[in-house]
Amino acid sequence: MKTERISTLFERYMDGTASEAERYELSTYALMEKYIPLLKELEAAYWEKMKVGDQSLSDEEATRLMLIVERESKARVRFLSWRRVAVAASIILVLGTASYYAFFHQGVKKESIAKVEKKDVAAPDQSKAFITLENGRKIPVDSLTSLTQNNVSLVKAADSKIVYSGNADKIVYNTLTNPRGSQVIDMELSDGSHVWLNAGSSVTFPIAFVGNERKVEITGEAYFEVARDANKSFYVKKGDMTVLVLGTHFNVNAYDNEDALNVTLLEGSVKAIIDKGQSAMLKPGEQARIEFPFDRNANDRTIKVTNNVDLEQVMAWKNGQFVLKGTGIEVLMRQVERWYDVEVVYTGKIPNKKFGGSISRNVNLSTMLQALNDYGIHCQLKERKVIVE
Amino acid sequence: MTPYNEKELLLLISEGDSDAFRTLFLHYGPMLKSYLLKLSRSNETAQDLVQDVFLEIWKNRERLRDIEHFKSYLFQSVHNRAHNSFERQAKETLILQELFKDKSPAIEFEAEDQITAKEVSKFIQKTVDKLTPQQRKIFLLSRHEGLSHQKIADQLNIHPQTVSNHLSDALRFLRSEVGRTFGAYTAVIVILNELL
Repeated sequence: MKTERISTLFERYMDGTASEAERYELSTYALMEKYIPLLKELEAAYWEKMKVGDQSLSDEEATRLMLIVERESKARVRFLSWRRVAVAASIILVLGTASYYAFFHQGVKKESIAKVEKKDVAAPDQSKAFITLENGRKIPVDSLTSLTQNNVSLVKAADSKIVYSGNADKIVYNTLTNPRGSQVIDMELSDGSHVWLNAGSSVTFPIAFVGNERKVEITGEAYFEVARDANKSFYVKKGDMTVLVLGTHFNVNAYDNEDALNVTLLEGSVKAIIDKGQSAMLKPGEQARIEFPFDRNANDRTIKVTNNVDLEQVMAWKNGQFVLKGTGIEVLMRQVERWYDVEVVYTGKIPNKKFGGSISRNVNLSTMLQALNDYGIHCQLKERKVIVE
Repeated sequence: MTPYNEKELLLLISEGDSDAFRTLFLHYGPMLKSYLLKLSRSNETAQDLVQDVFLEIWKNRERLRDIEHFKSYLFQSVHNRAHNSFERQAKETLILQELFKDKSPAIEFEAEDQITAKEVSKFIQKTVDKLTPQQRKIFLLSRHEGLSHQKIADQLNIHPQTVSNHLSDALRFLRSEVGRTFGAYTAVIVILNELL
């Protein structure tokens, strides 16, 4: 029977044992329309017979695919076109705090031109954030599509915002981590509260709130807009410092390498509390400052409340700016380290200059360093290190 | 090393876990490549198809949530292109046979197929005849002997670019001739394209 003949030919062809004449014969049948269904069946049957395990792929092929996969799954955070704004227009960097005036490269000394290596460091154009589930699994936000845990759904919306929604009857924690050198990431919790995380920060939170408390923990810096819920108080914790929120908008700056933890209230009402220690209520426009280090006894640490707060400066990070008002070089450099994910090294005495003004965060690092050089801070960029002399 | 649990792996991938995807790829990729290699006789075709199919599967990873047997799903995703590559190599075999020998092997086709077989053979002959002597020579050296453009150029004492030109002319011609006649298969009639 013809079917048998073709089956035999195909089998030999696939096994590599067909003679030239047999290959020729099979090829002729392959071009005859009436035998196509049969051949397709034979192809499927052969696939059925194949077993995993006795073959191999080169590492190169595996790597190549994974690279393409990674590239494909990146949802790039939309970039504002003012990233390419020229140096003169985007940097208004001045000395002193008494008066503000703009400099536009007047009287620049030749030797102060920043020596920038070929490898410049660009501002981050996307978020490298990832979510850690309760079982320890880490999912990069980039490749996240949607995920359900205990009836609570987590989706990534079109603008890369992460949204949790649903109810649960037990507390399950996730952690959103935004590494250094990453754009700000935006998340909505299941109660409708919003959190924005700066670079080098994280927030640990229940995927759905149970009971009469909503408790989250942070490291680094986050801005919250908490949804009102009279029955569930919202707490933000860092170490033994807790902020009790009564439906509001506030910023918490809690980087470990800063001198103090700052909670700044924009709207609503919060109470800043040190466990077993002081507490202070804040009104909008006020800032509570708790000094580090945390290893000092709770009773010794005080909360200082000031109302002399420059909100623009506090919220600059969320608005894509560095805003400096009488800011020293070290504070500025620490912000630079987190945003660009670089290391700043001082080789000599740390300059005592103070700065005022604002700089867009979306410029290349070399551009920023150029400006600093113009104002007398000698700094160089080498790979991912900024060296200040 | 944790045991391979496919259902769980597919679920992880559908949620965006690229490590899990890599595991799946390393598990099934080799088998698919081997299959495609046997079917198409072309390393390049096999490699490209494996990449294309897995990339497509990744792009549609949400569907993996409902897949019971990945091996079947994989085949579903690739079987049309796989068949086309088999057809392609069949045409190539016939053409080469025609070029390399003066006569094609004497095969006794049964009555019903005699006419079709004769048609196929005649057509291949006609197509091959339309090649210029130089095109034919270069085509044989490239396909039958597997020589690189440089080696062919050295052997024939011409410029490698000339070799490339002749070859692409020949292929373009074969492609259009074969495509026109075997109309039923014109969906993907790309003959011998990996040569270029």
